[in-house]
Amino acid sequence: MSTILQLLVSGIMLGGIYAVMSIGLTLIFGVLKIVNFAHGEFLMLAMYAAWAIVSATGMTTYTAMAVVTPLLFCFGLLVYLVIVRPGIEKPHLVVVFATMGLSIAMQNLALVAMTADLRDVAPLFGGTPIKFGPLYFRVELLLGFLISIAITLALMIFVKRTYIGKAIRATVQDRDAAMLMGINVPRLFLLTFAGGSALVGIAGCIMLPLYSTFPTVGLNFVLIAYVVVVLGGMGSMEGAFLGGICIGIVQSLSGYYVAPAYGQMFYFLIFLLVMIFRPNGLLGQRGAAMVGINE
Amino acid sequence: MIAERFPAVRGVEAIPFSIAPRRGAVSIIEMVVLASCIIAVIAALALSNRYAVDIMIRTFLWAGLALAWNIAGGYAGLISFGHAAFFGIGAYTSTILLLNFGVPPWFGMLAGAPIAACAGALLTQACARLRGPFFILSTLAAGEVIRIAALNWRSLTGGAEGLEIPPVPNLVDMVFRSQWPYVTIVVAYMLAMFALSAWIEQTRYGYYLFATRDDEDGASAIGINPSHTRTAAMALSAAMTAIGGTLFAQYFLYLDPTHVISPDISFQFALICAVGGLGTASGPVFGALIIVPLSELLRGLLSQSTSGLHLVIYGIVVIIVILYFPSGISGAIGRAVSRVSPAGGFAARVQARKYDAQA
Repeated sequence: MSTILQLLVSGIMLGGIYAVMSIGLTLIFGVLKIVNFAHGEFLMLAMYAAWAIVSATGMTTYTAMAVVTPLLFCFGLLVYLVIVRPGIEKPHLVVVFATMGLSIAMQNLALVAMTADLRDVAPLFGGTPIKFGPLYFRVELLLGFLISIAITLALMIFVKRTYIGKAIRATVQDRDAAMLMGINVPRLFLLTFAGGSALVGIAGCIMLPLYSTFPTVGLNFVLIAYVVVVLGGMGSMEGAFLGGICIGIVQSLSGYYVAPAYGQMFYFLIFLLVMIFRPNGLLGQRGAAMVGINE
Repeated sequence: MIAERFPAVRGVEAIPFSIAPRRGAVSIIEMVVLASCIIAVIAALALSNRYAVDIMIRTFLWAGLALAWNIAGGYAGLISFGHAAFFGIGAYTSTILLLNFGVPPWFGMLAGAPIAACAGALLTQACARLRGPFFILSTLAAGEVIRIAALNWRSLTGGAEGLEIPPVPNLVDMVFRSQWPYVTIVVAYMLAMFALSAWIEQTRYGYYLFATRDDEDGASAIGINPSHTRTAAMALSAAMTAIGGTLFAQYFLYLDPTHVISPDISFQFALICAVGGLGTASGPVFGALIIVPLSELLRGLLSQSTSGLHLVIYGIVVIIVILYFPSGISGAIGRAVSRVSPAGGFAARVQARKYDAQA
C-alpha cells in the first residue's frame, strides 16, 4: 500500500516538473499555432546555462533561475526575430523545418562547445531525502514540484486577469477577430514566444539537479513534452499540468511494475491512443486537431 | 486570412498545378537532375578512391529514401517523422530472415516492404482525423514505439547490441567486397524511386493525391476518397522506405535500434526533401546531392578539430534554405529556368508552385 502511495506521489511530483517543461510549448502553440521543434534544445541551453552559473559561482540552481530565465527570454526573442517571424506567414512546414534545423545546429554546437560529457550539480543537503509520514522525497523533486505549482497558478492568474493575458486568450480563440479588436498580434507573438522560452529557462533550472545535462538531453524530454501537451490539449495550460501529472504517474508506476525501459513505450502508446480517440486532448480546443493548424 | 477559412478560395490556388501539362517524357528540371547524378557518378569514378565512392553511395541511397518519403510527405502532404520505423522494419526484416533462415536479402526486402506498408496504412488510418502538427507528432510517437519495441525485443532484434551481417562476400547474400556492386544497386534504387515519383505525378492517382493534399473537401466533393488516397500513398512510401532500409543494412552490415530507428533518421528524410523541394520528383534528389556530400565532406574536413561542427553548419544551411527558398532548391531552379525561357519553364514553374500551393 505504501509502495503504491509512494509511487503515486513521486509520479505526481515528477508530473509537475514535466508540466513546467511543457507549459511554454503549449503556450507558444496556442498563440502562434506553431510547434517549436527546437524546444528540447532550449531546455538543454537552459540546463547548461544553469550548470555554468552554478559551477562558476557556487550558488544553487534555484537562485541561478534569476539569471537563466531572462537569458532564455532574450534567446527566445532572438530566435523569434531571426527564424520564426520570417516563416510564420508561410506554410506551417517552413517553421517546422526551420526550427528543426535550429535544433540540429544547437545540439551540435553544444557538442562542440561542451563535449558529450554529463554535467551535473551537487545534490542539496548531501542528497538526504525528506521523510514525510511513510513517504520519502528527494528535496529537489519536492522543490521542483512546488515551483511548478506556483508557476502554473501564477500563469493562470496572469492569463485570466491582465490585459496581455486576455489578449493571449483572445488570440488563442480567434487570431483574426483578436486583430480586428485592436490587439497587436505580431507583438503578442513576440512576447509569447519569448515568454514561453523563459518558462523553459525555469524548467531547466528545476531539472538540472534531478538529471544531468548533455547535448542531446533535449530529445528525451521534448518527446515527453509533446506527449504532455497533446494529452492536455494543445494550447491549454491547465491541460498541460494535468497531462504532465498523468505522464508522471504512468512513468512512475510502469517503471516500478513493468520495467523502466517500457515506461517510455507506455506513454507513447497513451499518446497514440489519445490522438486516435480524443485528438483534442483532455482540455483542448474542440476541432483543433481536425482543422490542422495555420493552414 | 480569409483564404484560410474558405475552401473555395483555396481551391483556386490549387488549379495551376492540377492542369499542369507535361512537356514530353522528361521536363527540363528532370534533365538537370539526371545530369547532376551522372556528373556525381563520373566525379566519383574519376576520383576513384573509397571515400569518394562511399559518399556517392550514401548520397544515392539517401536520395532514393528521400524520394520514398516524398511520396507521403510531398505528394500526399502526410509529413511523417516516423519513417525511420519503416526504414527499420525493412532493415530488420531482411536481416533477421538472412541470419535466422538464410533467406537472401533480395527476397528479404520483398518481405519487409509489405510489412512496412501494412504498418504505414495502419498508422494513416489510425491518425486519419489528424492534421498539421498533430499528425507530425503522432508519427514521431509511432516511430518511437517501434524503436523501443526493437530495443527491448532482444530475442528477435538483438536489442541494443544490434545485429551484424557476416562480411562474407557473396552475390546471393548481397554482400560484396568491391564498392561498385553497391553503387549499381543504390543508383538503380534511386532511379526506380525517381521513375515511380515521376510516374505518380502523371497518373490519375497522382492528381487524386494533389487534390486531397490541397483541398480535402473539394477532393471528396468530386468523388475522391481522401482516406483511401492518403493511406495508399503512405503504404507505398513505407514499402519503398523499407526496401531502402534493406539496402542500408546490406551496405553497412550492422544494425542497432538507436541508430536505425532514431528520430534523426526520420528528420533527415524530411529535411532532404524540404531543402530540395517538397512534392516534386527532382527535389529530394537535389536535396540529397547537396546535403549528403556537404555533411560528409564537412565531417571529413572538420573531424580533426571537433566532432559535431559539420552538423552545426548543416543545421544553419537548412534554416537558411527553408526560410529563403521555401520551395526548395528545385523550386529555385524552376523559377530561374522560367525566367530564362518563359515557355520552356512552364512545367518547371508549375513544379515550383507545388510547394507554395501546399498549406
